[in-house]
Amino acid sequence: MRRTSATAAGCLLAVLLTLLSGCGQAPVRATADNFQLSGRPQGHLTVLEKWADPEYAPYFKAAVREYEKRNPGVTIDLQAVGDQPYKDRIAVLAASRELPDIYFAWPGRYAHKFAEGRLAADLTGQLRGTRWGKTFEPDALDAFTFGGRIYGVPLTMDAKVFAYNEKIFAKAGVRRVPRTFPELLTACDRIRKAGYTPLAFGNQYGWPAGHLLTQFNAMEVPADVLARDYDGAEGAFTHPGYTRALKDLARLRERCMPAGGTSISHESAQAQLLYGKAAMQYLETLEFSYLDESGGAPKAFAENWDFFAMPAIPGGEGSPRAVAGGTDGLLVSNTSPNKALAVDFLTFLTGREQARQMVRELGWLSAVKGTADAARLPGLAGAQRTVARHEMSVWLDTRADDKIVNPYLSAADSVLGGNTTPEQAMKAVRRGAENARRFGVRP
Amino acid sequence: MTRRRIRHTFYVAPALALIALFVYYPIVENVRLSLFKFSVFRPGMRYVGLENYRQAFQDPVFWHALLNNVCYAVTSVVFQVGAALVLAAVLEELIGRRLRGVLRAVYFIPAAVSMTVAGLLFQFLYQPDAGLVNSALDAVGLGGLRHDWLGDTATSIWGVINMSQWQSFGYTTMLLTVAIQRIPRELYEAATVDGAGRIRTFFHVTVPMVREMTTLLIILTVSGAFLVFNEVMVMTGGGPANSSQVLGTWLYASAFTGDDMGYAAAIGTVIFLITFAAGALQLLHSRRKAVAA
Repeated sequence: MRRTSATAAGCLLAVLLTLLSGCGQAPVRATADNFQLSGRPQGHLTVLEKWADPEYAPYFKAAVREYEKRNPGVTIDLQAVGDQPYKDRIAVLAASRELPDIYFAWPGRYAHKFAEGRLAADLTGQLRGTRWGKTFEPDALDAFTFGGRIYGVPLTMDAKVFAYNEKIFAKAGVRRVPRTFPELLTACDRIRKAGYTPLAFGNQYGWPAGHLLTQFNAMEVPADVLARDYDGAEGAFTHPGYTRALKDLARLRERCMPAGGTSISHESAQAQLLYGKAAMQYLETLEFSYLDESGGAPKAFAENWDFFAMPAIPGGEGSPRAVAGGTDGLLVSNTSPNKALAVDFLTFLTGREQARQMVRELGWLSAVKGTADAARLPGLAGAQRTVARHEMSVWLDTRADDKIVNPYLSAADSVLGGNTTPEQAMKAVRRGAENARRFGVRP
Repeated sequence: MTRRRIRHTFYVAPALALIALFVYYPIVENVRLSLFKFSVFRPGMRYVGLENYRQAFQDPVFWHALLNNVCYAVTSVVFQVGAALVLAAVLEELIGRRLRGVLRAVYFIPAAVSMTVAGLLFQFLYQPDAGLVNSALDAVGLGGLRHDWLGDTATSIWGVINMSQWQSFGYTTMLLTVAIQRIPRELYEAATVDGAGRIRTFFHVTVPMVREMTTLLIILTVSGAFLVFNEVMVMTGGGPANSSQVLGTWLYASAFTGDDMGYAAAIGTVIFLITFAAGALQLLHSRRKAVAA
C-alpha cells in the first residue's frame, strides 16, 4: 500500500513537471497601433494609478465622471492604490500580461522597463510635433522618451526643495536663504542654537535619503558619468564625486538633522515642520498642498513659509542647477484593445482646461504648458519658475538600475545612522553594482 | 483493484487534484523558476541553472537575513516555549483559581491583536523622541539608555523580535496550560510525598509530561520564525541599511523592487527547505510516538 502511494505521488509529480516544462514567460500580444477613433468614443477602459490619498483621489474620480458624461458610450474603471501596493500590483499584472489600458509610471528606468518590454504603446506618432504634443513642457515629454520614441503622457512635474519656516529663520538670525551648501550648514548651526531642529527628516522607508542623494550626486558628478553608472556600466561609481555626495549627506546629518531620522516616516517629520518644531524640510513641490491651511497646516505655519532649492555646492563637478525631481505620467498598454479610446481619454485628462483644474484643486504642477497661473496655493507659481530654471535629475530610485537601488539606499541609511563612512558606503555601492552586472536579469 | 477501491479513489480524486493544483504545483513551479533569470517586464526567460543560488550565497544581505531568522527562531524558542512553560506552570500551580482566569485572559489578549496593528503600536512605543519606551527609561532615571530602537542597525531586528514575542507569548502559554492540566494530579502528589520541591517537581514532572506539546511548539515557532514577514514590513521595511531584513522580506524586495524573480524564487526555495525540514521533524516525531504507543 505504501509503495502504491509513493508511486502515485511520483506519477503526479512527473505529470506536473512535464506540464511545467512547456511553460514560460507569456509573450506580449501587442494590439495594432490604431489610435484613431472611428466615430464617437465608445467602449470600456481600465485605469490603474497611484493617487489613492483622500486629498487626491476625488479629483481623478471627478475627471473620469466628467469624461463619461461627455461621452455616454464610455465606461471607465478607475482604480487607485498607494505607492508600494502599486509597484506590487503592476508587477503582477505585467507578469501576467494583463495590464490595464492606462497605467501610471515614474520616469527614468521605471518607465523604460515597460517600453523595453513592449508593454507600453509607442505614442510617438500622437505626441511628436502634433498639436497635443506641443501642449506639454518639452522636458516632461523627454522623461518618457527612450531611444527617440515617446512612450508616456506626462501629467505632473515635481521638484525637491527646502520648505522653511520664515519665523524660525528670523528668530535664528538667518536673514536670507542659503546660496551655497556651506551657507546652508551655517544656517543649520544658527537654528539649532536658537533651540529648533534645523531640518525635519524621516527616512523610515529609504526614499527620502534617496532623494537627497539624487540631488547631491547630480551636483557632484558629471551628468554623462552619472547616466552611465545609473544604467549599470562596467566599473561604475568610481568617480570621486559619489563619495563627496555621501559626505554632503553626512554633513547634513551632523549639522542639520535630528537624531532618529532613520526610524520615523517622512510624514511624521513633516509634523515637526508644520507645528514649529523644525525650521526646514526637504520635500516635493507636490507636497505644497500639505503646507496650506486647506491641507491641514496650522495657520501660524501656512502664513509664514517659503522655499528654496538646494544651494550650489562649491567644487562640485556636476550641475549647480540640478534639482532632484521627476515627471509622473501615464502609459497606454501595448496589449490594450482600446488604444484609440485610451489616447482620447488622456487627451481629455491633459487638456488645458482639465490640467488647470488639477493645478487649482490639487496644487500640483502640471506638465501642460501655461497652467501654473491657475494655482491657488501659495508658492506654486514660484515652484514652476524653479523647475523651469533648473535641470531635473530624476529620482535615483526610479532612475538607476533596479539592483543598484537597494545597495545605494542601504549605503545612504548606513551613513545617516553614522554606522559607516562615506568611503566604506561607496565600496558597498560598487559591490552592489558589480553584483548587478554579474547576476543581472538582463541577458 | 476492487470496485470499492476504485469508487473510493474516484471520491478522493477532486481533493487530490485541488491539492496538486494549489499546493504542489506552486512549490514545483517555484523550484523551476529559481533556475531562470527573468524580469516580469521583459519577455523570455534565461536558464541559468544554480546561478540564483550562487548569487544568494554571495549576497551579504541574504546571509544577514538568514541570521536574523535564526535569531528570531532562537528567541522564539526561549520565550514562547521556555518562558511560556514556566509562566504556564506558575499560573497553574501558584496563582489562585479566580486570579488565574484573569491572568490567562491578560496574557492571551495580545494574540488577538492583528500583527499590523501590533506592529504600528510598537512603532509608536519605540519612537525616539516621544515613544513610551524612551519616556519610561527617563522616568526611572535610566535616560542614558535612551535609544533609537528601530533606527539603529544594531537594535532594529531586536525591536521587531521583541514585539513578536509580546504577541505570541500568551498564546503558547495557553497551549502549555492546557497540556499541564492534562497531567494526572497523582504525579504531583507522589512528588510531594517524596519531598520534591516546586522547582524539582517542575523539572521532573511538568517538563517531561508536556514534552509532546513543547516539541510541537518548538517546531511551530521555528518554522514560524522562518516565515516571518508582516511585522518586519510594518515596523522597519527591512531597514535601516537592510539590518532587519529577514528571508521573507528579502524575497519580496528582490521580486518587487529588484525585479529579479528567479532570485526571489531561489530565496523562496531556501525558505521552503527550512520550513519543510521543520515539518518533517514534526512528522517524524509524531510517527515515533505512534510506534511507541
